[in-house]
Amino acid sequence: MNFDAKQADVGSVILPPPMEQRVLDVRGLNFFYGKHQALFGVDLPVARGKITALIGPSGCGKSTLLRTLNKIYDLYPGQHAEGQILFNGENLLNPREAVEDAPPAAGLAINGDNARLRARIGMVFQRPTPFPMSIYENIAFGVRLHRNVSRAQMDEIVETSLTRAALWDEVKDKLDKSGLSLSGGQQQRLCVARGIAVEPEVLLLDEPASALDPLSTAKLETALIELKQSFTIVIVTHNLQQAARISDYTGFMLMGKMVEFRPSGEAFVRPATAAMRDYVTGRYG
Amino acid sequence: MSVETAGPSRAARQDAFFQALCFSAAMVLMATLAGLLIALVIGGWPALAHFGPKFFISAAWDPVAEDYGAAGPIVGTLVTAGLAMVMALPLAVGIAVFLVEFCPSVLAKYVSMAVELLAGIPSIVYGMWGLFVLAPWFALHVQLPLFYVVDPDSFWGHLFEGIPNGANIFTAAMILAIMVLPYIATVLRELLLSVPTHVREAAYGMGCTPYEVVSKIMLPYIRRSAIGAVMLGLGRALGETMAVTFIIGNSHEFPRSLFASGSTIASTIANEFAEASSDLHVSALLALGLVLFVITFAALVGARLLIGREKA
Repeated sequence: MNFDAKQADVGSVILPPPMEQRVLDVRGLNFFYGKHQALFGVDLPVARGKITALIGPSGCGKSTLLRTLNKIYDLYPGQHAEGQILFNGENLLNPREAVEDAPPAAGLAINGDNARLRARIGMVFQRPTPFPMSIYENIAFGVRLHRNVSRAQMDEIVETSLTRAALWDEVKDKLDKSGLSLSGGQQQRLCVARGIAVEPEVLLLDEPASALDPLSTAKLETALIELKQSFTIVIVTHNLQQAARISDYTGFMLMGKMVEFRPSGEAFVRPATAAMRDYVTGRYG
Repeated sequence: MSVETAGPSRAARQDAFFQALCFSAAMVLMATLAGLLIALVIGGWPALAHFGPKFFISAAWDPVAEDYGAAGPIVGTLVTAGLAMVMALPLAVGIAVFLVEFCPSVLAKYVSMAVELLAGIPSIVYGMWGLFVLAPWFALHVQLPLFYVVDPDSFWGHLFEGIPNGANIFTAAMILAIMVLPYIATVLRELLLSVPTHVREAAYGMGCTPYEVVSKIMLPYIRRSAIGAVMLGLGRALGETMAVTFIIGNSHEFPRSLFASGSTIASTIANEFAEASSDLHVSALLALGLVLFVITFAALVGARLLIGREKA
């Protein structure tokens, strides 16, 4: 892949969802790995109850952008972000800042509490990450972090979460088995179930299907479309068909910039920028 | 002379020679181990045959009457090493977790250096420090106060019974704990670093606090290998000689309290080998060596089994 400067400077076409729908609203985000800048003034409006897909060639910054949304990059001292990440109208990067023209506030303020933030913005990673405990405990663990529930309630939460992640039928007879004993596809759906069990508002998925076979991918996609009823989903994917199939909005990124952000139907049928047209027609990898 | 025909055969000869060289290097090691074991068995046999199973359960150790029983040193060895592990493990976990999870990278360099330095100090230095500094301090500030406070007929009174001179099983275990600490801490640190980044991130991504990530995800993740690390430390504590000899009090009495003088297998051998006059005395010491060999070997094999199972 080789983009010259002209193609990178195609300008951008952003058709965002209405302000009052934006549960997350990233504005002018710059991100740095040490001295290396990876994101340049990125905008990302995320509509509540929709699936937003982020696509683009490797290294374009889409995973980096996703990792800013729950501030998981905070684990690494060298990484930092500048700009605004508005979650229910509150700037996660500067909680005390009064934001003009912000989406409506909802729920308790995060106020710099990363644990509270991540309870409300869950994440599923590229590789399945079951914890070293039973299938049941993998789900109960996260719930227990944030709420006190009775054993009966917990049973119900475990069953509901696994059902919604399209995994219940496959594991209902072996809930006490280790989460690591499942296949890769099952492990990934376990991670989805674990993520939704704590009932976050937003679920971030970083190429969740990249390590899965087509059948597992199909099951995961089905689960995600079902989940849209109750959660906002942001998914990074290399699979354009997947993005077109399941997403409502699509953001196309290139070299650390958001080049095109539009409703998925229009974006894939008639890309507005030359760069995205080239990318979706396969001219660039 | 044709290069084409000579080339491959020379390479093959080189290969065979190289293989034989590596093989013999490995065999030298095996032979040494086997030779050591055989020598200990042969040397210790007269004593083992003379006393029979009583050698392991009798606490008599009387060179004048030629009556030898190893129960005192065996129990002394196991108790000091075990106590040392109990003291060292929580500290080692704390050090490792701090270094991996919380320590600013500037400070981490110096703490790691201190840990390595601690591992590099010769054991005789620990021994001298134990005898001249730790023992008097311990006698004055721990044993004496306890002596006045605790009812001598109670359970605690029996546990803390002993001459208040600081040279006892407990202080020996303290010295051992300091000595094995850097080993356990280093291995635990490596193990914590081996927890995959994505598992750690996933735990934080669930909204875990750092304490929850460490205690509920990372430590359970390395649980089994960590037992291996402890066993390696235990192996070292079991065989440590000089430092223990300095401070344990070197009494062959069966240890009846925590603050009683005692002996370990290694300290007994170090103290008596040069002065052993009779054949039976020498044989009894060699038999002690065999027992230590077997105990240490068992600990190391246990460690290897546990670590191996995790990797598989």
